[in-house]
Amino acid sequence: MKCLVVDDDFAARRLLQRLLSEIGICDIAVDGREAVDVFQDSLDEDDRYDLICLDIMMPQMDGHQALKAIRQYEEAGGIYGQDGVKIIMTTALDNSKHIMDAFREGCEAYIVKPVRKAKLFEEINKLGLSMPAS
Amino acid sequence: MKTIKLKELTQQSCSTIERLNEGDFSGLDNLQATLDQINQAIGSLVDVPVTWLDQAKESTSEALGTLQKIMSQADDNTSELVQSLSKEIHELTDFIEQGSRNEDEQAEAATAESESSESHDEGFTILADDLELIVDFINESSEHLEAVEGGLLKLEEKPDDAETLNTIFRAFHTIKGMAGFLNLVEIGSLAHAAENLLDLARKNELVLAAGKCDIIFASVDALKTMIDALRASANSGQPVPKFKGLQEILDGLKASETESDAQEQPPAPVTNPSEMPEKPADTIPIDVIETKLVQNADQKLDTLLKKERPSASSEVSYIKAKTALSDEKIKVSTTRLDNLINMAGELAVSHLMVTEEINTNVAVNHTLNRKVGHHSKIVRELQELTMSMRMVPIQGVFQKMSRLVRDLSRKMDKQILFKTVGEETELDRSIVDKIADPLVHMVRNSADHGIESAQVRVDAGKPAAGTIELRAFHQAGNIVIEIADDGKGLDKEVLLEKALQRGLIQPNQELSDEEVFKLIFHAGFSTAQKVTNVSGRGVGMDVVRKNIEALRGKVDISSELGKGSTFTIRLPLTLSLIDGQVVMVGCDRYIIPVNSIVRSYKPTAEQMSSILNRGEIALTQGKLVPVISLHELFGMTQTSKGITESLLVTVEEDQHQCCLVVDDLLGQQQVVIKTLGEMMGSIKGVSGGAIMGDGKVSLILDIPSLMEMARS
Repeated sequence: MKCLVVDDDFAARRLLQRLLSEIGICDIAVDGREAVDVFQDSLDEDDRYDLICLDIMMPQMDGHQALKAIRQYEEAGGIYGQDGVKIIMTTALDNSKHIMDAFREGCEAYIVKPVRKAKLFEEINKLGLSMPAS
Repeated sequence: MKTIKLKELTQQSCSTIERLNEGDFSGLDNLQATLDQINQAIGSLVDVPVTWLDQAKESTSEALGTLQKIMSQADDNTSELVQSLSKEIHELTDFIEQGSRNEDEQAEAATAESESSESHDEGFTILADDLELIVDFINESSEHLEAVEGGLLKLEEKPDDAETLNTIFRAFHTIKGMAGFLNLVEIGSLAHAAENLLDLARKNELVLAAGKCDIIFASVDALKTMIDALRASANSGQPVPKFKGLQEILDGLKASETESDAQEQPPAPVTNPSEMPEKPADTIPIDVIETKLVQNADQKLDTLLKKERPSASSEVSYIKAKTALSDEKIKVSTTRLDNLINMAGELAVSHLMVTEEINTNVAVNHTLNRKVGHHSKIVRELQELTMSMRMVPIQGVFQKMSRLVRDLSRKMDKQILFKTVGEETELDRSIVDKIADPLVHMVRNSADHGIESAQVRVDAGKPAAGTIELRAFHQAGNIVIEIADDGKGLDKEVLLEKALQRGLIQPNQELSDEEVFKLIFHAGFSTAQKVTNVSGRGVGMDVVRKNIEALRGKVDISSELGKGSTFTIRLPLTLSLIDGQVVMVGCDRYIIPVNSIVRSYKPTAEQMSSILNRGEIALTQGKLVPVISLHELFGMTQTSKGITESLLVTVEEDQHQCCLVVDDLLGQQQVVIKTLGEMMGSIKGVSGGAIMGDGKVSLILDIPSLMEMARS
């Protein structure tokens, strides 16, 4: 499994990377713009990500915009629905507007920080991604 | 509120554990202290269920035990121990959070905790914390479901429309995601199952034939029911009831996934079934598609997607444009919007006052006039703009009808082609809400009584599939909604006979076609030989008319036996403006709604006659019409003018006419309706007031109640 962690905060990035490294390869990006670039490259090279953990409050490009850009790029490439990359929003923002917006923009799950291992893996499991035989 | 402290403590321990996971063991001592504190805090808790207390204690001591093990033996299995410790602490945290939520609930309502333990069977209670989210979810998902319905109806006509399929898929996907986040398990699982089925359809692994559309429609209905239940619970604070029949739908969806379609009819466009039985050659047999698909499934998908994109119809681009727009929308409460409209109205009035003042009191000053003219334009535009904010397209209502016709045609085994024209026509939000019910009645009637069965139609030389057309358009400042069917039409003879039986008309009474048709609006008037489970014409038609008249609208019927009927509803654009005829009575001005005026004229002495003790009547166009003197009604001292010097305004309401005596007609103008305020309450004969250009108030006459007053 190939994952991408997008967060501008070093500690958060490190935590997620460590957790996800248990179940696959884990790349990192430091803001939305970098995430979109990395994602587009991965799609062009057909080395797709299975999962993206996306923070919302980030400099350059925030999580909402990145999410939209990723989904648009997928659609332009003819990737729809369940074939798309699974995106989990991992953010400290817990107000209704952000949550509803994110789901409308096409994320699969939304975890309010602090991210806990059990919760993260539960969501990954629900998304039907392969889990390590632990 | 001891639990708040507990929560803090557990969160503290959670973060220590996270550091432990990363190999930082410095927080171990602290952790032990924290756990001890947790233990103490739990011990000091009162008013909590004993079972909860015991469990909390147990898991704390478990965690403590593991922690001690880690500290005592720094050997190989440390990481294992750390993991189990972190698991234990997270469990404890969840546990305590759950406990504190229960406590919150108890504080919120006096609902005993027994309810929350029972809630596993009964459904669940909405937590106060989640309420805002749940309410947003309800609104959000209702919109998505509407989009799904619209998409499905379109899909039935064009089962391979990839764009529509994606729209539906996305809506379900969003609902699933949100429901998952909010732990609405039932809604989530249903949306998930529907999503799976659609995903297969999207991949061309199955075709959404009629049967499969049915099951998706059923899931949409089920979701609606569940969301309604959720809404009710959110309002009342009661636990959300479990939805019954969920499993059946889930099974149905599941079965549809695997079930082979080869045996079924090719995707039948229900709304256009006439072509279906006769010439199935139009559609490529499923098995051919399937073989092709197996050969080059991927290519097929790609080409299909590419093909569909540029050729996307205008409808699709409309939906796209809508989705694009919806991103920039903000929601504003209607109260605030109404306030804005009200203020704009006030501004227009005060502007008029200034203009009149200038016209009368200021010597001709061209610069000033030009500036005032410019100002007038801005004010007018502002007013129009604010009015347009309340306007919404009628599309939503039409879509409901489309679904209704689809279901009815199934139920009654009739073939009905449903067409809509002018879905984008906009009208006032409050009218849209209120017009839906009458329309449902009328569309049902058309489908049930208007359209004949296929056999009867073919025998009469008509196409087997009947057509119902719903049209909306603007006409002369009104919104016109027409429901036209090409069914059997209204039978005048039957109507007259029935009316005679009920004593609604006298034998040999001369009635125009229009009047005969309008008989169906009388309460309890039904020409249906038997009342079906769909409708018996007349059941509800009087309610229909009342609803429409409450919106200051009118219904007209035209019908030709054997050819079909057309119901025309005329509605004002908005309920806050009215086209009024300003009249002079005595020295006051009054406003008569223009749409109730039939004619106005100067009577001659020959036309007038008096009936003893009953007042005066006027002979207009061969009819004797009672005359109401507004002077008397409003207690004015009669002006010296005789009746032949005054003017008569004939008004019509509910097929009754009467003449109002007025002194002068001052012209027509659009006025903003204002209520008279609570102090005045409701006054008979007056429906509201309007501020005129000179700042004085004129009363708007309420014709129905005026007539009532005149009769008594």
